[in-house]
Amino acid sequence: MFYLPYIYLFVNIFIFFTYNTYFTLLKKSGFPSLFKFNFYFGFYVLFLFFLLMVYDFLIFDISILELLLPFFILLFLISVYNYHYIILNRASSFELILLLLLFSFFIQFLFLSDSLFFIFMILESLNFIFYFLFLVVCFNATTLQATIKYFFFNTIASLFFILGYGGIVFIYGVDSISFISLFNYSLFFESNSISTVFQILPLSFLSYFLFIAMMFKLYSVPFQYFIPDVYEQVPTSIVLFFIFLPPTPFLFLFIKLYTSIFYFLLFDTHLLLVIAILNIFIGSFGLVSQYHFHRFVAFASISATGYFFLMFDPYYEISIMFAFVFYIIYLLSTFLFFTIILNLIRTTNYSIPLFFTSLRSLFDSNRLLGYLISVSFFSLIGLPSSLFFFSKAYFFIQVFSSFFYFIVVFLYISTLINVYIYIKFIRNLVFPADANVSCFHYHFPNFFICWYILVIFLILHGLLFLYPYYIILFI
Amino acid sequence: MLMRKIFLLVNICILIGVLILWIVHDPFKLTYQVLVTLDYLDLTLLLGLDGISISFIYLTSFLVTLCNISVFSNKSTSGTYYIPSLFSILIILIFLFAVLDLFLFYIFFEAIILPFFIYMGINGYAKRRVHAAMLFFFYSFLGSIFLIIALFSVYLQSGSTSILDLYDLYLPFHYEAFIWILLFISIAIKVPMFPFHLWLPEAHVQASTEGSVLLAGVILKLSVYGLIRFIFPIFPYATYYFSPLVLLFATISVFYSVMTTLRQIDIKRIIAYSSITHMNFTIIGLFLFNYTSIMGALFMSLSHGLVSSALFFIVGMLYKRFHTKLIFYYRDLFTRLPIITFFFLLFTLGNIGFPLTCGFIGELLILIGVFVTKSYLIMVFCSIALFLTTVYSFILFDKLAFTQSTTLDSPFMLDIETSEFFIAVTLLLHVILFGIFPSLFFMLLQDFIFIY
Repeated sequence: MFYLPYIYLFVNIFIFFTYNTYFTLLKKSGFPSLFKFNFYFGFYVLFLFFLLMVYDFLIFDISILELLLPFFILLFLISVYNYHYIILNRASSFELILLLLLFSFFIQFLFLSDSLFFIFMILESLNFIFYFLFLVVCFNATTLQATIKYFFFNTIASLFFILGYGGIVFIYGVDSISFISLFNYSLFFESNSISTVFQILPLSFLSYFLFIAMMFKLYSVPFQYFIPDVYEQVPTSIVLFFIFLPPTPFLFLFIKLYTSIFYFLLFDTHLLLVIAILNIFIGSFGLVSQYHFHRFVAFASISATGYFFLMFDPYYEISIMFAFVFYIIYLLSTFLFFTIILNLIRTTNYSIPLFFTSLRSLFDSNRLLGYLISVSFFSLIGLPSSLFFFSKAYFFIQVFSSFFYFIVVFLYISTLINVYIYIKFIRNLVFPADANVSCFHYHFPNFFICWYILVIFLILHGLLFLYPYYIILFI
Repeated sequence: MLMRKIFLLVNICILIGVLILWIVHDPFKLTYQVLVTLDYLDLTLLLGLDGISISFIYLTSFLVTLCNISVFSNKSTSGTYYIPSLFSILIILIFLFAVLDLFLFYIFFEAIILPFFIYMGINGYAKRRVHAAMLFFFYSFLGSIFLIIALFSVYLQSGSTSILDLYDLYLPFHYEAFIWILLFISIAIKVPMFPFHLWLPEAHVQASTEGSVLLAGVILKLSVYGLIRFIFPIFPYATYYFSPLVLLFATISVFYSVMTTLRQIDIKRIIAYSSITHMNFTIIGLFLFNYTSIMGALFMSLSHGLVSSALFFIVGMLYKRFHTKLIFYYRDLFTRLPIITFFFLLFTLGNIGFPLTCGFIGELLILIGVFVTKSYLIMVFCSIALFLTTVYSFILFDKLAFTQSTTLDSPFMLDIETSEFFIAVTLLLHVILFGIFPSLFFMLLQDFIFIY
């Protein structure tokens, strides 16, 4: 029974590789088969996912995040691999799917690994995969510039990670996370005086570097400055990938390291709180003047990370539940928005929209999509009767009852700014434009995608709003 | 078209259901009736009805039905735009008047913003409708922020948000005063009271006929409902302590809005400022803490819902024919559109509180309350304001109906249509019926007022 998760992983990876590589490299099949077989693969992953949901034997070892990841990959594949997008953006190269497979492969190991050094190796591999992912879809000078920028900063992050690793090995003599966690836990909670090894030993400050590396990986303050520029210059499908897929494993890694190391490193400081506030501050104020989708989403993700950190308390169950509800709803809402964007084709020059102004009065041309986008925006604001409301209300109650009144005021200001920005976009989107303003007309070619978007939307708003306890069932 | 028919049918069914509720409601039973409990997220949420709830729910469903008939008959607009918004407004308002929980009240109080915002933005008259929708949204959202802080404060003190628990809540006075101020600001935005009133005329002018009707008829009434249901019973000491301040602001609002109305040239803006006058008059009635005046205030909020809605419907009919709302362009309506003008006259009489209309009962009772409590200053200002209300109402009517046309070739205009006639007659019946038999509502209201 204990080996079942590993068997699952092995089978998953094996079928993943053989099936896709075989069919994508067939000379006769070419592009349409790539398109088709990815769907088959997707449904296979979905089947496995639901199989795992049914049996509870996996709960002790594999977290909800890992279970969610195949599901997310499937969503990503369906939304990006539609015929029109591939034709328009010349994205028919098979390298993309191979890189996705490699990504998935390394992520599986990231979930399983216990050794810090092994995690470092996986992060490096992922770094290379991301580097090529940036370049693979369409190539021009600005994309190359963005790629180099991204690669450079991630290399710095790796440097910090290896330094932190050095610190940890210096203190404990081992790099097994479970061992470090046990040791810290017993020292911290079971000794008479609350103290940690980090307060005693010299050179223990090196472990802070691990924390810095994680901040880099999660694009958190103060290492967020490069990400809006990078996102702006790469294709939309790649932005969707970076918004949607890497945060899940990186958050998993962060939780793993937080419960074992960071909690004991930072327990007498408000460092995470300060970082959270700064994240929300920069995310909210950065949103104000953004019209490009990519930059907008970059700042929104910074803000969402801030909210996650604000609520992140691994030893308090309901708190982490709401943090996860918040983050997953944020991910899915953004995803929904990007799926719609990727599938809209402008009738005049066959391009997809990149600016909010180009979506003006979408409600007139396609009412369903306009409605879905505006409702997901209303959700992101956190108004009552929308998805984020309970999570956000819980944030406020928590902060309010902890007497951090300054933070309450600050959160209100940031919420007001968010409301202003999102309402501005909804106004553009929904209300009919004036006669003298030019509007673009779009058609939405894929009927299947339309239904698929509707299903995701219903899952979001039906399941998560009516019963958020679905999340806590897994955590 | 099918969707419109279905929604109209559903709407009429809801109206009949509310009427049945009114009939089976026992006015001598001094508790909440038809109690329903919902379990959600560790929260036990309670829904229940008393006389006040039923009267407001009846008003809501009645007015939404009329709006729906108006949309249904209007061939030029595509009703599929508005029907989801109208339907969600109806459902949210019915829930809002039935909840017995501060938390749920907050949720529905704010949830009404979204459909109304979309409704106003899509379906308005002019370019400035977007501006008006934004103004409405941000004023309401500002109120929401204060309301949620108050809600958290109450919850952290009491551990519950059900009003049945909160009735027994005892708070230190400074804490109660703090919460009361927060709650009252959000209510004052909905009234709207003097410093927060700017959104209302703009919203009324830019919204379509149905939007204005719902705004004046129901949405402004949320403030009265919130006061009588939550603020009065839960925070009695702070309410009493701050009542001079509230009376001061309400009197300023009454006087200010009346003086402003005299200079307006847009018909809808005139009726909008008249709404501010009447709603603040209602607030004066509530904060005098007199049995008669509270009764009058509640009755006036209901009657104002009927009368101002009727006036907005009439303005909608005029706009449909002349495509303007400025009074300078109207001449000699009595010879051109006699039936519409006749209805307009009767509703104007209702607006100024003429005897035998329902406006009269409310104003009379509030004035009796003012006299009984010997609030002489309020009495002076209110009397002037009521006199000026009559003045501007008749200036408006006079300019529209009797000013002689300078040009002889006035184009032929079709007088009232069937659906419009139905709407006007139904409203007129209500206005006169409750003017002659106010006890129909008083039976519902009086025992509950007596408890407070």
